[in-house]
Amino acid sequence: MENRIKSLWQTSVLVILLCAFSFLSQFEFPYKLCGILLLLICAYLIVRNIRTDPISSFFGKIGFSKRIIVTLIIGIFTGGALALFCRRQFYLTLFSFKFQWFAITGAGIGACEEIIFRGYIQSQLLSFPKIFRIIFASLAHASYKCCLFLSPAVLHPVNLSLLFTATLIVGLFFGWLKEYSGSILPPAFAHIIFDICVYGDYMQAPWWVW
Amino acid sequence: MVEDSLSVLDNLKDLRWISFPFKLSQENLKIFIKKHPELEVVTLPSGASIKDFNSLKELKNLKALAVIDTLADYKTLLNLKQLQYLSVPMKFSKDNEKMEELKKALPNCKIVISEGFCLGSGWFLLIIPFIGLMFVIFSFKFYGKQN
Repeated sequence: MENRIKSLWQTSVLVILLCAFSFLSQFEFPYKLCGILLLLICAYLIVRNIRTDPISSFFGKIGFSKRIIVTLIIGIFTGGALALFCRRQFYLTLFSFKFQWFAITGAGIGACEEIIFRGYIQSQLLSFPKIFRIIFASLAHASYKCCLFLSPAVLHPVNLSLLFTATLIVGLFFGWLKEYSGSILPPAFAHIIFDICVYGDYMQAPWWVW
Repeated sequence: MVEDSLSVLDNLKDLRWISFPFKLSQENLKIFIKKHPELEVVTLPSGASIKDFNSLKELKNLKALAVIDTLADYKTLLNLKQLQYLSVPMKFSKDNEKMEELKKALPNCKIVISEGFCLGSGWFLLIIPFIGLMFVIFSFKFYGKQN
């Protein structure tokens, strides 16, 4: 019981620090630097609190079982379908084949988020029921995303309730992919495909990224 | 008040990018544009009561325009042939007819909606090398204790 509370406490502190980093990342230096230092503290907490072996803490099962392959295919198709939906909503051409260098950054951001939220945070709460782990990681991810735009440094009005709800719903599905397959690959690929398809043809990063 | 805050920028003759303050009037926009003909990116936030975008025609280098809140007279946007990027309010984007008209008038312009932010911070990528660094530090500490 004590271990459960400890793991929940440690993971919650990590989530709060990640949200604070996200909030500060929209300011100019030196506040941005404070955010990056918080990220360094997060890295320290992550490594210090790893409960299982490092590889499975971040990536889950390694290898390609039948279940992983099936969920990987589901993830890739879901990521692609969500991307098409978003491109339609943004009035962008549906199929863009002029990928720019920014596609690599976009894919990296998506992969990192999955490794930390679905990979690490979800696996830190192994003593809790699956549904709790999925909801906790999804809420953490949605809060982290919204903190990016809560900052007073952001002049663009952003529909935060829509962003939170959409991130939460997609996060719940990605969390289920992770739990069902036991591997980070299906949600990571879904997220990577989504980011590449939506942002892959951007010549420059959107204003909130750096 | 707005005029005062904008006049602070008068000496910045090479200003390229401006996100205007709230409650910007049509007249203030016109005056500002005359003083800063090199502008390339213009953002009009919510609360800006701009109806007529014709004054932006004078900005020969204008590449991007973001209209966040209301787009009253969109017809005046059709003449901004120099635009490469146009961000329009969500409400306006629901009107397919107007959107099509804009697309036809500005064929070389990427038209997007001032909504839909789903990519995270790029600085988050730093967490991977930071974790690697912490692993190195922790393993040194571990071997140090063993020896």
